[in-house]
Amino acid sequence: MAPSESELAAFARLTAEAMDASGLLVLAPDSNFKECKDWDSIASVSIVAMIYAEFDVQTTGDELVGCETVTDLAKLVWSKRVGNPA
Amino acid sequence: MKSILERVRIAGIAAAVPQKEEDILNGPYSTPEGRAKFVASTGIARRRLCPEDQWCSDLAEAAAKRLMGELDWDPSSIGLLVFVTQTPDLKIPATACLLQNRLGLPTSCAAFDVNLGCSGYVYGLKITGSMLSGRGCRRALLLAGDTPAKGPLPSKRSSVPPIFGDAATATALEWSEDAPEVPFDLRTDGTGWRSIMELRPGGRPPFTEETFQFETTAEGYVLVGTARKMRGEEVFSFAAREVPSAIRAMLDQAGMDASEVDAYVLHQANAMINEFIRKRVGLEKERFPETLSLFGNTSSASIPITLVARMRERLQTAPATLLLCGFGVGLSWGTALWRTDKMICPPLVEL
Repeated sequence: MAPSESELAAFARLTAEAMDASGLLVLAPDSNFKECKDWDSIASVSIVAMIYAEFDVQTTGDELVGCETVTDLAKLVWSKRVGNPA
Repeated sequence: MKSILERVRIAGIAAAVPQKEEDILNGPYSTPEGRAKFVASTGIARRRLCPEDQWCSDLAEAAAKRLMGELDWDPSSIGLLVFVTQTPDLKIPATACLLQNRLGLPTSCAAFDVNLGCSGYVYGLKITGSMLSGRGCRRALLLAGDTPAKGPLPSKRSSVPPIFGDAATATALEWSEDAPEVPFDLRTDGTGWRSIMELRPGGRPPFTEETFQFETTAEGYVLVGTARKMRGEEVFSFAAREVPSAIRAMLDQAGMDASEVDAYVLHQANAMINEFIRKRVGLEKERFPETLSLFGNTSSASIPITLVARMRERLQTAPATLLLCGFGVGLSWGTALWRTDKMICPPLVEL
């Protein structure tokens, strides 16, 4: 099951917050999250942490590097969620 | 490895840090925004840094001397010295041997190093405690500390995220007929050996001409860059996966309820990891002391320095039930549930 539009919007917000706790960063589902200035090694760990905390899904640094947009990342997370048919 | 340590008490704990302190928000790393984000994400606001002529063994020596003095322990009464460190003075001999001499311990004292980091203090307590006996050695010093901030080359230091701080600690262990049992659970996962790594010149994997970086100082010393390489995402996932269940398993092993523990003292890695663990286990901040904001990640020193910095008065005046959990490089993790009676805990030594 792929994420719905509203789930994608919520996921984009969570990802932006993970990358910038001040709330200034805004990401759209089609944003390339690795190209914004807030992307660094700490941001990568923060996203992995957010995904684990919110979705109970483990991701790796390489998997994040393999995603371009927030939507790619959300699809990866959704595909790993327990009980989700592929 | 699950086990029970019997008839050993903690007589005291001391910690020593360099006087030199870095306030990360005003430090050399990144930009003002970058520093603010770093501090907000990691919880690491300050750290202590050894000057060029100060080493981990100097801090360990200072902590040990202070502790022995406060305990009024004659050096000749100590039969065992264990130094948990991954920043020894030399490749060989073990730095514990040098410290045996510098601390004035007798030649009848056994001394050796233990090459473990984040899990090292918990492992060290079990190793050291297990070697004490009523008919043999009754007193031991467990020194645990690291100077990871000395690893990066001087010219590169300001571009490395300022996660690590320098510190060393001394714990005095004593055989005691009436001491409560201490359950331990020590674990390993070698598939994660790359998650936190530092190469050795001449070892494996080898350095290449590109990766072997060095600088010559004004005094003519050649410093080889041996900064730790960390895969933060893997470390987070490991800690998030293993530590909450290790805590629950220890409470089970000890036959205790979570509410009976006075403090959960975890390795201070970064706030993202520790907050995740705290929330997963369902603990309030009051029973989850932190020293990331004061010292950063001090590797094997982080658990004992948290006890000294945050629980001194309590540990000196009343018994306490402590759940200790160190996790990280190896991958290795260790958990123990220690019921302490009043101990000697001098204020932080600053060198």
